[in-house]
Amino acid sequence: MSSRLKKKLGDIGVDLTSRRATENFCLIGTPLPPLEKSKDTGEFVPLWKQEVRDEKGRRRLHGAFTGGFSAGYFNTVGSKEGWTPSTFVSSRSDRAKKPASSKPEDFMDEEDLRELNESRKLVSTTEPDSLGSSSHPGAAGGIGLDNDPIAAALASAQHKESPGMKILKKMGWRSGQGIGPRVSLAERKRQDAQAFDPYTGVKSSESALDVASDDEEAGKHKYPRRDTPILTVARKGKSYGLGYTPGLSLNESLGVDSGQKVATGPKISAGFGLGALNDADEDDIDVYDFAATSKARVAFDHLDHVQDDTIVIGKGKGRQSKPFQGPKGPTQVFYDGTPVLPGFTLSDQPVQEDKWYPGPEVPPGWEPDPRRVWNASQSKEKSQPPAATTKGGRPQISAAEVSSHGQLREKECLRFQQRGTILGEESKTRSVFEFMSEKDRERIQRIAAGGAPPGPGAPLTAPPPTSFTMPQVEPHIAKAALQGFQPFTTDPAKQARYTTFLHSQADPNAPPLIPLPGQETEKFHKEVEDYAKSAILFKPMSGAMAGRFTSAAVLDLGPKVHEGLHQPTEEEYVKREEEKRAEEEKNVPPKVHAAKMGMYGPMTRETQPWQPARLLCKRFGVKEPDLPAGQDAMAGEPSQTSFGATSFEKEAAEAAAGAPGTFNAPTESSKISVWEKMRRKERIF
Amino acid sequence: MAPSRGTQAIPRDLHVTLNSHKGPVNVARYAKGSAKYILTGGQDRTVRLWNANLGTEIKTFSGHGYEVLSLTVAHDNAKFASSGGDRAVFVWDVATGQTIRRLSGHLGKIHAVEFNEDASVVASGSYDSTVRLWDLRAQARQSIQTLEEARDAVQTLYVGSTYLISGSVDGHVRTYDLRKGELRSDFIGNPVAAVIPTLDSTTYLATSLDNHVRLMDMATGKMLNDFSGHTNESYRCRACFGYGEASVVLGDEKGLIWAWDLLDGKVMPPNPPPKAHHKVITWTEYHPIDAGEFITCSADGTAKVWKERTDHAD
Repeated sequence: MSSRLKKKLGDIGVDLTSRRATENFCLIGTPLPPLEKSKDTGEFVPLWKQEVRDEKGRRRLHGAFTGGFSAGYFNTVGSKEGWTPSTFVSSRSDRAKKPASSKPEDFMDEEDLRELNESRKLVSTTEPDSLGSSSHPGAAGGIGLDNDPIAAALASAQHKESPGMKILKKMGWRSGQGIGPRVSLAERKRQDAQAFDPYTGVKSSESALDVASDDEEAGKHKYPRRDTPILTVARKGKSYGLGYTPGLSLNESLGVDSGQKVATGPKISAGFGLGALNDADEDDIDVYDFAATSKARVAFDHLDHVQDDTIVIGKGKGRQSKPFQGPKGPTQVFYDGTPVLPGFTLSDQPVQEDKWYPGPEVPPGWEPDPRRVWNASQSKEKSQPPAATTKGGRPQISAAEVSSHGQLREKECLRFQQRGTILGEESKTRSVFEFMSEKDRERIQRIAAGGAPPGPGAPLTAPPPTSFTMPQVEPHIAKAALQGFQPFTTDPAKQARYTTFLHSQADPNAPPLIPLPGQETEKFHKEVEDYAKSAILFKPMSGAMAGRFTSAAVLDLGPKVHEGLHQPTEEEYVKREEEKRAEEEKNVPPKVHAAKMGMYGPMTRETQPWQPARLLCKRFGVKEPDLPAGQDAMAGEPSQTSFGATSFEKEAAEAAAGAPGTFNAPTESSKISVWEKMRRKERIF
Repeated sequence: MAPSRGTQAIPRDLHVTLNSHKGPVNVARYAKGSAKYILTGGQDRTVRLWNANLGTEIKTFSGHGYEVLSLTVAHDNAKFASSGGDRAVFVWDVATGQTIRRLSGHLGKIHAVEFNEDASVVASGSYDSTVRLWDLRAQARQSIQTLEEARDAVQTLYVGSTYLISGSVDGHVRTYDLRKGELRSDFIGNPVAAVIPTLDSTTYLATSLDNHVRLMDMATGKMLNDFSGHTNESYRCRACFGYGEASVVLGDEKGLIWAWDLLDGKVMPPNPPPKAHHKVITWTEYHPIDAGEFITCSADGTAKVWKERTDHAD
């Protein structure tokens, strides 16, 4: 008895010294050891008392806390000197052999093995106990063997039996019965009558005993109890709260019914509930449900404005059945007819408009004069007399004034360089010109100076459009261009004119290109310009450069792609079919034709030599046919001989092989054709 | 040709129906000897042994993983071999119902198996267009020989005493003569579904998928007779010889059993024959000894034994 219990008993007044106080109720067996009395008080325990030993008396905890590495010596491993690792033995040749210690048990010492054995259980705890489900014979339908009664019987016995069931069965229990000593018929009948389905709570009459209550004979026997149905509650897998049903639409979950109206009691605020016998009194009613809370509910000070005007945000529940119409009654409507949103009311006062202030008053006869402003900034430095205003009009400001002002402004402002120097920065006066090449700089300078831009080195003159001079192409260029690619392939007339132009340029004696009748001068000029440009472009490379390049040979090897929808014609199809048939006809061997016509015989029969395996001949009890090597080599050629001729041929072969001197050596026989042999045979006979 | 005289009409009376199979029955063979028993193999991967007279099922042999396409019985009726989609030949012991051997090596399903005369060699023809010959005496895993001349699936085999005949979907019937060391191939024209030689090995019957059954001369390859009128264009239907090789019997695709006179080539009455099965008849086999009995099995899941009803005579 623990000290606490003793104290309590003592308080009550129990005589602790009597024997009855310390009575041991354990009549059979050994009593359990008393509960832990020892709490860790933090008392000092000397080191020698803190020694730990295991059952064998060996010391535990060698060097872990005091330092030192013993590598297991003190218990099971190695020697005092240390542990030598085992020498390496190559298993390259013995790889197939299982290593000596491949199971974890080999690496365990006695402690580990003990722990392993303790954790082994005789009865599996993880398998579900199928006490309830085994009584279900209908599961046999799952197996497809329907017409076989034996299969059905086998299937019903398939359910796994837990060890408990096995023990019960050994003791005489059968599935479907309850557990416990058998009862009388009356008792059983009572149990059956009182039975109910645990899931639904409805009285169930399943597995009721099928015996009449007043049967005399039956009443003399005892019956097994009624089995209590096991209620298995399915786990609620999802993490939503109680009362939530997934898959409802918003309306449904809110409880909004499109048509019906469910009678609801006084709307109690959420989070509270009423018992069966309580009614909703004033405290429980939802404060925020506006239907219930009318003016009388509010405990606030009376507000200045009429309550009806405030914008109310009704509760979700409240929206259920058009809760707050407002004291005005019907739903309010904007001026254009659109109804007011539920929960809102029209306000009496209009929305505050922006305040519009009038502009400054302009004195009559005032004219804008920028100079005034400009001069105002300069007034510190110079004092310029304001320009006289012309009468009746704005002061005329000349362009010069503007530019001068601009310049003044420029001078006034700090330039970035000045700012830079003020700040003390390194001034690397970089200008864009540094980035340009010498050539470009020159060009720009020239342009700035106003000169005409020179051409890109080629002797092509592009005369200004106004003057009418024939663009010149140097003769050698023209000649080369004539040999090169001719543009304007789509327009042969144009190409002809181009060629004429080139000729005219190449050969000073050739007639020049004249404008077409009806061609305007400008157009003609443009045309000639185009030709000149083309000549430059298409002039093939000369000399050394040409040697480095080859023109691509345009080989139109690919299939011609006809754009657009493929619209095959009837003839195309017919042609294709015919081609196909013709091809097939070519490939068909003659025997197929013969077979088709029904002319079976020499055309359909093929004979080849075939060597059966020795073992095969032995099994069949047939003498192995001796085919000399020569015949074998010819095995590929099907000879179109009939039955009679085959034997002929064979004889010839035999003769060829057999008679040594008469014919060529047998080694050559492989090269001799059948016909040769036949002829030879003919020669002999 | 002279009209035949007195060729017995084939029995048209249903004696007994064997319908334990679930799914099409692919093959039904008579046992050897007195042929009192029938072995059937079906799409349900089982082989069943029946009593032919009573029509009762004696034993079921399960072990195949895929449908059973062909069966062959050893001469002593103690063993039989079956083949199918497993790509292996299963050799079974009848009494114990266990598989003695499994011969694998084929690359496709095996359409035909046949034992030789003393059941020391089993030949198997497969979808992979080869015919393999297996030795049952030795424990070798490899086949003794592989015949690779066919260009398409081998649908039918016959193993004679000194020769082998194979019929293939490539339209050829190939006769491998062991004694002569020769291969004779006849081009029939259409896929060959079944090949059966006559007992004197001079002619053979080739069923092909062009609604024709042809009697071919083995020596020359010429066609001796042509039997038609039935429908056989897609399925493996088998034409066999009737009693005394006087007639040719075939169950066709439509479920009708046709009979022709061998010499005439004319359809024996009734013409057109009555419908015997609801679906394609996959195998027809005549009793080896009895004059008035033969069996057919069909894709409708039944095998039927047709026997001449003896009590008619009254």
